[in-house]
Amino acid sequence: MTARRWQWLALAGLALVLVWGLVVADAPADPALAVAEAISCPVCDGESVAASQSEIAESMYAQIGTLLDAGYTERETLEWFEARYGPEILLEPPLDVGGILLWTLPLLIAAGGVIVILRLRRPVAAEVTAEPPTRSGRSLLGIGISAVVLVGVAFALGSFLEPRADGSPITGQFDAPTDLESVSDETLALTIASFEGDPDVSPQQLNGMRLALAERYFEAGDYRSATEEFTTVLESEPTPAQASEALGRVGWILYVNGESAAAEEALGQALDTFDGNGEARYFLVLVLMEQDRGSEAVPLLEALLDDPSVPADLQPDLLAMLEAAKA
Amino acid sequence: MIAVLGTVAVLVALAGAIWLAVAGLSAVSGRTVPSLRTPAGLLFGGSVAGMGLLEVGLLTDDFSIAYIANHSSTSTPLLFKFASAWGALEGSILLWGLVLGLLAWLLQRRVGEGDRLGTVALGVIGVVSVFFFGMMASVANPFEVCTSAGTVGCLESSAWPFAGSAAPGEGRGPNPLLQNHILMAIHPPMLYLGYVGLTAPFAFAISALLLAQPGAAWAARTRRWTLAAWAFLTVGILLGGWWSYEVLGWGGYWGWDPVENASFLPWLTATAFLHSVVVQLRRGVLQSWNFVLVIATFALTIFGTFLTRSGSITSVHSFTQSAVGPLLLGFFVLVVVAGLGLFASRAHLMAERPRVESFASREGAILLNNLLMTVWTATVLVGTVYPILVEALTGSTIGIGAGFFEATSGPIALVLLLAIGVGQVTPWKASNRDVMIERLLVPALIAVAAGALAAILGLRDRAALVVLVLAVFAATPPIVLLVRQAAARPESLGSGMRLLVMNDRGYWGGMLSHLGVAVLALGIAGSAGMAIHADDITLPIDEPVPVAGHVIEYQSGFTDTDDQRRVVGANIEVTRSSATVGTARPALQDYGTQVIATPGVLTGPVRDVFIVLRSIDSAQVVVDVSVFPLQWMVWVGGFLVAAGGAWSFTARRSRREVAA
Amino acid sequence: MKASTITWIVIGIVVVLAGFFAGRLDLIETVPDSPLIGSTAPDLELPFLESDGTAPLYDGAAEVTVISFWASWCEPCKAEHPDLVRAAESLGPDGVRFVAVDSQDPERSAIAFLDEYGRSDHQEVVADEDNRASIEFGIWGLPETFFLDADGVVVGKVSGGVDFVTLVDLVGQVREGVEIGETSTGDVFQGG
Repeated sequence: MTARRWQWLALAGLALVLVWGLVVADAPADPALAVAEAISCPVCDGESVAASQSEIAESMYAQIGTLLDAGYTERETLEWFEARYGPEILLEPPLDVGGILLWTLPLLIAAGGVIVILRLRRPVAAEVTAEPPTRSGRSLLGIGISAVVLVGVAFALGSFLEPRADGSPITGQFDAPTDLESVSDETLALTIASFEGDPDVSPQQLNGMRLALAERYFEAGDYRSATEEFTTVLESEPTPAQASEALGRVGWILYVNGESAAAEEALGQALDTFDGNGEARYFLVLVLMEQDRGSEAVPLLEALLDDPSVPADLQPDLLAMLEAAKA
Repeated sequence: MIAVLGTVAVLVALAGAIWLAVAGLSAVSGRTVPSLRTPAGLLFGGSVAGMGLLEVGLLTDDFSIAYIANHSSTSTPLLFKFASAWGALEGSILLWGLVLGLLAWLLQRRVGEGDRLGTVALGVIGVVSVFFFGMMASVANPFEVCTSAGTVGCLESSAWPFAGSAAPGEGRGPNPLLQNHILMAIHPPMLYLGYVGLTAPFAFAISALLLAQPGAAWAARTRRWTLAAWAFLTVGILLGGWWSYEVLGWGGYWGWDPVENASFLPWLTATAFLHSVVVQLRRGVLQSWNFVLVIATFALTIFGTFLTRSGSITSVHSFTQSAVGPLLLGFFVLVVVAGLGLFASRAHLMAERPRVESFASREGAILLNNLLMTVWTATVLVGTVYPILVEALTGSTIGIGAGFFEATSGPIALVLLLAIGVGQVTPWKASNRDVMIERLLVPALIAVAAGALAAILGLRDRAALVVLVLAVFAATPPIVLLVRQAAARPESLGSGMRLLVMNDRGYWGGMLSHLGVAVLALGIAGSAGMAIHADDITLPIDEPVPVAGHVIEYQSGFTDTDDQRRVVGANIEVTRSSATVGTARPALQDYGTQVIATPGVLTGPVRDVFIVLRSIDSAQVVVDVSVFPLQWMVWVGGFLVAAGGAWSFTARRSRREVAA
Repeated sequence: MKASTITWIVIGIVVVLAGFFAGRLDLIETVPDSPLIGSTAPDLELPFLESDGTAPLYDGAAEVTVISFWASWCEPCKAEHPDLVRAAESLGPDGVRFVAVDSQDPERSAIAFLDEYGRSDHQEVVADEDNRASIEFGIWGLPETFFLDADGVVVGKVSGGVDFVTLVDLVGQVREGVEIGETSTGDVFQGG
């Protein structure tokens, strides 16, 4: 039997003990304290009888004890005070229309939030519907919130227990990731850091990882972190293709930040370093078109249309731009 | 003299604020704005001078200033004279202004020419400062001179600094509750550093919206400010609870008082923001949501201040009703309408495409965290304002006690613990079963084993058992991950762990905070869920009495009298299973106007023994005895939460070191 | 629904709620209505403050009973007490019983208060032992004054200080069988 299997067995066994513990547990309750926490001290500023140190609160606490000793239930004790002070003495919101709304509002917000979140997923996810409330009172709320939230948790748990269709699994050795796509950013950054100075890893291999990390920052719009990584790549003996990719993207970041001249220069350098960088060429076209310099963009566009590495779905856009550039 | 100089200082700061606001906001139209060093300097300098002058006045007992005459006295101990500068309304607003000035000054140093985002953000801080210094120059002037002196304290005052001054011979002194413990001197400044620090992300968010630059730049630039502010806010809330426990003697640290809620609400939304901003920076999602969170957080800090200052909610924290209330309410409405309105008008720029590949990922876990935090915020907010709504609509006054908040917060907190356990080690983008089993099986094993062991050892409190299992489950995955990663490195285990934690401070700081949350949860489950109370126990002198699992004995009394108060207390020896726990010294402090029962607390690794004196004479004392299991975990856990924030705060620099 | 639409709705809700708060800002503090009105007064015997023996709050004989709750630390009580004494002097011989319940107060301060603000032979001053009466009558603040008819039914209550004219007027109405209900003079003192 493997170690993993033993672990599962131990988990199951201990879980049984825990369930036993939960079943035999008897929550020791102090009914007097519960009542005192539900009654406000009449002369204090928003404190309960339990919290207040005032003389009257002490007497009320004693009265609660007297009533409970005389056989009153918690509810009857609360009613005893309500009959003398009015409903205002109770610190529990009454279960009128507003009270029920108050108790169910968190539930409604949670349900709304779940719906909004589900729409964030790229492929439309399975529908999750919240159960309509059937019971009222405090227990309803507790059950309700737990239900909605647990649906969310169960959903998340369920979807990770389903193995992904593509991509190889991570082996658990975090310093040797086999699939850069499925590693978290921190792990990637950490891995890169741990390989620095390692004679077995070439700077070019490291640059590959840095570019993968930078691409994530770049896609996420965190241009500052991306620029940092690109700069490091340019400073660590990159291959021409790596240098070109870094330069091209730095150029685009510069352009987005409004520094068109510097952007143009960087993109030009990217193409000089590695002529096959279609992305940099495409960025340069966008920069030129933005400045109404269509005539300069024409040769670039023609080169792009001939480039087999350019995605097919860009072709119509490129053709349209070529039309515009010629005009 | 101090009144004149102080008024000038406030006006100088106000002028700086107006200048900062006008010049900063003019960059929206594309105008190039020269350095904002001068207006920020005026704002900061004016506020420092104002606070300095108020302190000088307090320390020299200058009762010609109404604030000092009414909130300090010659016999107030030095530390509390110093702390009186923020012990009452006007001074607390001056402190707020001082922290704002500091923020403006620090931010200004990072804003270069041509940095439109930063320039407009400084303008927004200018607007906020205009509001606070405007209040000081009008309805909440800390430098009003006393024009009619009573025997003690000032009866009438004037904002005109040259009005004929009449200094009373003695001041009224601070509220006895506020001069009882050193924590009272540091709790408000910490809270304000948190509140005001949260102005930074707000200002940058508004700036980004004004400039129609809804990218991640604003969030990336303010991440460290948010972390620092959040850590201060955490410490501030924690110290408030600690003070309440050590001084108020009702045996608790959190009562769901409206003002406590008011500080908790922005903490919740700021915590949600700290998580969701990472998702935006890493994955480009939640762009709009982060704007909403930041605006809500700032609005909630103003709303909380309004609740404290307006007298519209009764609470142990409230200052007396004043004209500040309507102004704060107006400013709150302005923040909501202008902030969210601006967001709504820019929402079309943020039509983000759905791009979460799988909810079984770090971003999925953070979405769950945000959902829970939002629901929690909404619940606490609605519970806090509900009584006011009911009164406005029906005229009947009702209260909402801790019961509602506990019943709603409990389940939310439990699911959050579970989400922390799973979420913190889930990879970004997408996870798979093997990785998650790898990372979670051992923690689950440890957690269930801890629960099973506790059950076998006789823990019979169901809620405590559940919290124990979930808290251990939340605390262990990062530790297991750290050990495994370090073991796979060439260095020794210890230095490997150290290197990992030093190199990725952003991540491990977060893990430290999560560990703190787990410890805090255990502390709350123990101290609140399993407390034992025994009230009105009469202890004849020198006679051991068994109470709540301990034997306590009234051994002697003590008295202590100074100018301020008369203290009468008892030395009560506490033993447990015939081992001495210590001598508790509960006391009654009589300030003439008010008697405060200061508890005697004996803190231990397993439980606190907490004794409050009810009455005392030479023959016997009457005491309330409480036993709070695991109380120290509340303080240590809360401190770890803040420490994690501080550790993450140092992250940016470490990344550069990694790159270099 | 678009994000901007939702945002504007949220803004609207917040502004309306802020309006409620604004309305609340200059509200006078009042105490809640007493549920006791219309029902028989709690039956209690309390010890005299300054002498031995006890007195019932309702003795079964008085045509009208005026029970006032007070304390020496309560500011409005100081203004009210002389008027209560005057009313006791003039209405006491006429079948109206005045009981003053000293609540949440050290005995020494209460006696000093009476020394300063007066006593009447027609006013029975009792001490609220263990705050029994305060709790039974549901006292929210001080002073509060309850009016009982000949059958011992609570027919009215004033929160806050009462003056001589109001007292005479209200006692007259109770005699005529009017259920006078709740009145608030707005100066209830809460503290403790």
